[in-house]
Amino acid sequence: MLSAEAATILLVEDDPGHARLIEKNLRRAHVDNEIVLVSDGQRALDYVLAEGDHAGTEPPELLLILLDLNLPVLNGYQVLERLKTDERTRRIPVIVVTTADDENDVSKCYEFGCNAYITKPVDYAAFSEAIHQLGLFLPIFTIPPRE
Amino acid sequence: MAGIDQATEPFDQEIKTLRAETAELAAQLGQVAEHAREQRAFAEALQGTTSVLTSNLDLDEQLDRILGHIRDIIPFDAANVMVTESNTSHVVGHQGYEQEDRKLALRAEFAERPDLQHIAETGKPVVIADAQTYAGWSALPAMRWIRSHVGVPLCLAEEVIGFLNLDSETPAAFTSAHAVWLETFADQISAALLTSRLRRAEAQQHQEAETLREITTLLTSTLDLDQLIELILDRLQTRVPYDRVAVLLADDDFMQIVAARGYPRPELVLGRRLHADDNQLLQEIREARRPLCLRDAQVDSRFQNWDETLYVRGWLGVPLLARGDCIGLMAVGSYRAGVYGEDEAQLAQSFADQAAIAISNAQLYEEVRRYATELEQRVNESTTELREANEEVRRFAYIVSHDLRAPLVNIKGFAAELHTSVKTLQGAFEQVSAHLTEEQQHSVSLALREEVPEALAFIDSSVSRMDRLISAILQLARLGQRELKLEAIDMNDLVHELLQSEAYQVTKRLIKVTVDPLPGVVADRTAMEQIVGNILSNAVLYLDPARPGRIAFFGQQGERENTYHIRDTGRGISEEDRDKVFDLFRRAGHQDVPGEGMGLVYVQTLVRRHGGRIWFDSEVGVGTTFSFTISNRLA
Repeated sequence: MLSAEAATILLVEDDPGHARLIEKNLRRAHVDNEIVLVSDGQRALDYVLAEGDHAGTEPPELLLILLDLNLPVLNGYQVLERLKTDERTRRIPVIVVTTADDENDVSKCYEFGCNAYITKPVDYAAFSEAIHQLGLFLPIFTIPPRE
Repeated sequence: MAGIDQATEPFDQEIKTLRAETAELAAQLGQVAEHAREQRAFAEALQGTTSVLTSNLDLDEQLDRILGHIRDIIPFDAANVMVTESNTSHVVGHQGYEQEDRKLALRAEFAERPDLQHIAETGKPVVIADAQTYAGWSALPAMRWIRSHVGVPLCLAEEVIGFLNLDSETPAAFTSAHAVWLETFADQISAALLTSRLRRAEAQQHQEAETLREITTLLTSTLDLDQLIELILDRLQTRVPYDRVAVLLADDDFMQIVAARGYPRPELVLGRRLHADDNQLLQEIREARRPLCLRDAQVDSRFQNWDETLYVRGWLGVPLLARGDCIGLMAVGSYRAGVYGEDEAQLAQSFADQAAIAISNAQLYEEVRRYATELEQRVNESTTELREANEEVRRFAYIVSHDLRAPLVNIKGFAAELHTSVKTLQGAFEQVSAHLTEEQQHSVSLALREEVPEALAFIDSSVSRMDRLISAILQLARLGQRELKLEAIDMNDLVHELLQSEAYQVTKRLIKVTVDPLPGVVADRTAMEQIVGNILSNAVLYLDPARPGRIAFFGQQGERENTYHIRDTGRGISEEDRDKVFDLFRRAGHQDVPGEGMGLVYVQTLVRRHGGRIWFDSEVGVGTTFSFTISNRLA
């Protein structure tokens, strides 16, 4: 069991603006982890499972996934479902970070096994605060190593 | 002896005379006795016939017995009772014609019997002592065996309705005295005929009532036109037996055959359209609106256009009359001539009258059903379209709210980032400003301190507003999806609770609120709170500060829905703003009251989801009354 401080953060986000803002705010909260950005669901799975474009690479020992729901190719739900039903990946913590704040979306994500759900508010102060909190939370977050 | 003879001569004469007188008296006495005997026999016969009349025997039996009683006092070889109707006659009872050579005499028609015609004209009996010398006696060979004859009229109310005829092979078998007696018997026979007619009329009435009952049952059991016609034809067969029948229904100037029975190939007949102008029978029946009987269709020229068949003899055409219109025709045919007469026509007509109503009802029903089906189909189509459109709107709202939000996050986020950067620049500017010209200092300072922050502030507030609008749309979309939790709601309590939340404004603005007793509903509590709450807060917000504020709640319990009204003395809604009231994002009147202009759109959506309607009456400077209904049928 290791602290999330050492983990690689996989940011699955198709909006580069959002990705940039998330990254900025995480850095401000002194999150120094490596952040890998992928812009669709399929690439996210490829990265985690070392398939497709990432075939032959060694996925990081410790991984934390920040997942948007509205994604091209495979959407966030599909990614979440695959990750959580695959013996190799089901222990990887997944934090859904999305603009959707519908009750149904939230319940569905937890049903699929997400570990936390964060709404991206349009209000930037609130957005900034949410990501900041997440950043502060990471050091006390422990992650199981890859099997 | 001579003396004595002489002396007795006058006596002899006297005795002779006396003897003669005695003999005459005796003869007279004998005649009187004979007459008395005859009278007694007549009286007995009459008594016998009277008891026949009061019996329950049918007409055949009654006539047979009466003829038997007549034979007791007036010996005859053959006797018959004829009834006459519009210059034709037929035998209804007879005796003594059983032998082959006599039988044919019964076939003689009224037209071939001058004696009967004479009786009919004069109303007096005819006694023929010797038929061979009677000038008017029928020339028919069938009548030759008859040598003497007596005929008396059967009268009913001064009208000759028939004849009582006695025939004998012996000349002079009948006297005028017999004729007098026969007239008495004739009265009794007339009475028997009348009774029989009445009975038959009664039976017919009963039968008609039965037919009516059957058709009424039929009517309630089916409204399918084809089935109905089949059933009507079944029933008709039992009342007016036929070999062939066709039912025609009017279709503009045509009559179309919609049902046919007894035709060797019905498929050739069905669907055939006859034009009224080409067909005399059709035309006559339709114009006269009465049944038309053909004794023998084969000798009637009018039948030629009707049917090519050589078999149909007796024919009866009956109009189908419904609600004053001739909607069709029933053509009944028999292979035997003369089977259809007035009685059959009358029966068929009473039958056809009911059938016509049934058919007309079935036609109407069919029309209504077709219309209803069409309507239902159209409603279904619209409902499907509406549901699809609704679903599309909902998806659209969802996409709008999510997809539009994503860029907003960026605009807002980077605007804030820019703001932070500008602050950094402002700090640096102090240190570098010394290197700049005064003009540069002024413009950079203006940009950093005023123009950029101002622009960022506009971006920020606009994005905020846009986000609120998007949230509003999303909320509206969710409203349409949310499941209603129905419960019994006391509307009085609900209104009072809502007034509590507005208490501050109500007190501050000195608003007088009245709440009449309101009927309760079964509805979604949250929705009802939003509906009433929105209307109430609008009423409070838009009161005219120049006039005393009044808000009144009242309502009515209806059979299908309850109606609620909220009347205020506010500024009112002008004519040109009326259409905007329930529009998305549109706000009426002065824009001095904050809000997104969504309140009434929500309210309308919520009311509609409760199967209700919402509307308002308003007058500028007087006030507005919002009214809405909530269906009673949700529960």
